[in-house]
Amino acid sequence: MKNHRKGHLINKGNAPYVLLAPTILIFVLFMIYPIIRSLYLSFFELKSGCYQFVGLHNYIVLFHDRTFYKSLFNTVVYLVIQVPVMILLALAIAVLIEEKFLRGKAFFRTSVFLPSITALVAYALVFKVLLNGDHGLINYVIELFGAKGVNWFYGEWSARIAIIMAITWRWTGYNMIILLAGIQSIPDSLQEAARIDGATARQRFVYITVPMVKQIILFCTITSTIGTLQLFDEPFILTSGGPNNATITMGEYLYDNGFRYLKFGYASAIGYVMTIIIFLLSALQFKATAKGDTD
Amino acid sequence: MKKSRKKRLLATAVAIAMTGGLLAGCGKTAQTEAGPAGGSSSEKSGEGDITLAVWAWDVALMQLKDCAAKYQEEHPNVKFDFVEMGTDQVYKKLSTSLSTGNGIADIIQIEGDVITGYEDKFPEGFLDLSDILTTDDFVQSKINECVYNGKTHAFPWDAGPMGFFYRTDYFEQAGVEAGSIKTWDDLIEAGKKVEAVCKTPGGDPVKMLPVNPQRTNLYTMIRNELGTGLFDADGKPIVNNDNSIKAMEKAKQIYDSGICLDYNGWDEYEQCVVNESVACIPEAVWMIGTIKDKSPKTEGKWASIALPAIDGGKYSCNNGGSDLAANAKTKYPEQVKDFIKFALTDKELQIAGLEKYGLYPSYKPSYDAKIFTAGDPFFSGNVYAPFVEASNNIADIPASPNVLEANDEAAVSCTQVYLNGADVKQTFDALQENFENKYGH
Repeated sequence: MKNHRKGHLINKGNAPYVLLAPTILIFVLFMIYPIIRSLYLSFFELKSGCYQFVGLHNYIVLFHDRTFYKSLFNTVVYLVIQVPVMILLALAIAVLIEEKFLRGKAFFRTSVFLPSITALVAYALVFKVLLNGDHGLINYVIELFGAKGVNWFYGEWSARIAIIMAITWRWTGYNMIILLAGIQSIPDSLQEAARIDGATARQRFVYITVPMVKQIILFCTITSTIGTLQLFDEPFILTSGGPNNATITMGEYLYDNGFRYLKFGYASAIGYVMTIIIFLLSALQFKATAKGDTD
Repeated sequence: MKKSRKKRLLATAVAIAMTGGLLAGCGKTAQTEAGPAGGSSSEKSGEGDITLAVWAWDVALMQLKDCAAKYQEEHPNVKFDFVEMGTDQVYKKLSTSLSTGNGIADIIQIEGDVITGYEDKFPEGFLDLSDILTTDDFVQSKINECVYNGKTHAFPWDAGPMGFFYRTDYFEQAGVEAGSIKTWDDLIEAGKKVEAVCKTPGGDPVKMLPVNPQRTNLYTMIRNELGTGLFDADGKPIVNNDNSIKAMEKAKQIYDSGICLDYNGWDEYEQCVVNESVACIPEAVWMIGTIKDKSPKTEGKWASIALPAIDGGKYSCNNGGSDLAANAKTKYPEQVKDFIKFALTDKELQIAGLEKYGLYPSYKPSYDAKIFTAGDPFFSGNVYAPFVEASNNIADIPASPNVLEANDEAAVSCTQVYLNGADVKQTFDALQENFENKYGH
């Protein structure tokens, strides 16, 4: 500091920090502070208008809370079933759209992407009507084929399937666009060379397309995993977590505790457990793919 | 060197943030305690116009607008800023801002079953209305909602005494005498007759009553008839006591008898009325408004009697109804109190609210009005009679700040019993254990 000329508030030494200050300030205020504050809150509980220190009590109650375990189980179900189905579907559609023979690419691309720009609440309400047990369109179609309609929101697994259908419809297009960008960036020469060498479409897909977009598949998988772990709107509107808490997610349970039951400390504890789970899963996914690269 | 300095900086930043958090923790309370007094003294004698912000929803908002118009005849300097806010919006705002009082209206409509939770968490949030409330003038169950730990945090508004709406035409077709339905067992028998004979306009057999198998409504109704809540007066959970088990066994028996129509959510509940698919609806008095509104073509076909009883049950029930609370940080506490008292104890306004919007007053002196003996022309007979009787006989069930969460958990147990055929005793023992884990200490 002494070396710098006097009289200038901003000099060569501190200029980067001064310029970065607004961003850092906002980042600290809106990102770092809430993170630390919620960790702090998770050791407290609001009692009579004042936060009282309760130590690990929130975490202890949480580990005995059967609703929390159920929400964890549901989230895992969504994760294990929905994410792979959606990524495969997105990849398949992206590859199809990139195929030379397809006419009206823009139309298909737009239609598949369109669901991701609809408002969450609006689409969830539409699904609620579509899946209605007595006069929903989906049961009507099922009954046309002679099968018996499903009372979607009254069975535990049927309700979960309903949620999975809804989120797959909503998010496939989004992942498809990202994968499409990846596929488009594969040099044509690679595909052409393979074609000349006599590779079939399946072989080109498995040995060229998939390895070339691996990083993007990883990106989609991680964002979808995080998205699924934080899932909230669909179960909230379609099933309100029921029946028998079969569709409640960690996000919804957190919301209920924080904003309906006003247990902010407990909600923060749930948030922290969620964060740890997301962190571990993401690390695992990174590691799994990193290993694949070195082989 | 550089790295360690960075680390130190970060550590300092974290430390500052943490201390900030710590200080913010309880510092607020001290501030809020000083709040109302400071606010009122400086602004109380404000000359000229003042504006009171009001949050309410639906018909309650319309009723408050009518009240305001009448109030302004005497108090032309008081202006109102009415904002239509749904329950979700109101509660979201309250849970984030009630501790500071900023960004919250002066007068807020709140449902009776959630208000104790807010009062418990934010005892400095609502203005104490003890000096304007004469508790003897109101239905006891509403007083239980509005007084907690010795403070009157809200002013009772509409009550929801429950009765039993039934379709006279369906009953006639099936040869069922409404007066013969005294108990829930009678209801099951009558329901079988109705379903065998009656058809809806859509051609389906008519079901006896709508039940949401994912909610507690039917169980709560029967349990309240037995005079028991989820918690006792000390706040201890009592969901596996005899009354609770008995109520759930009865609810299960009714559901399993096949006379019920499943519904899920309010929209589908209304559809039961619109499609004329049920012969009865056990519901609070405010259902009058929904029936008239949603199914005008059924005029003259509905009537009401008292709820079916359970052996040993000597009480009636209350479901819903709202109260008015005031923001403790309002700039005009005197005017706010004056308006709330006027709006909710003016007999003419209370009766007009009932006639126009179906808001059933909890203010007892208004019960001598003609409307309570004359009824509503939409219904056959005096539709209000069973409700007036019910409102004098509602069990004194202690309020609990945990009731909202506990009821959600109980709903899960009900779902297990109704839909998965779980054993009542086992399910409710597990629920009790869960409650003790959460609220027991």
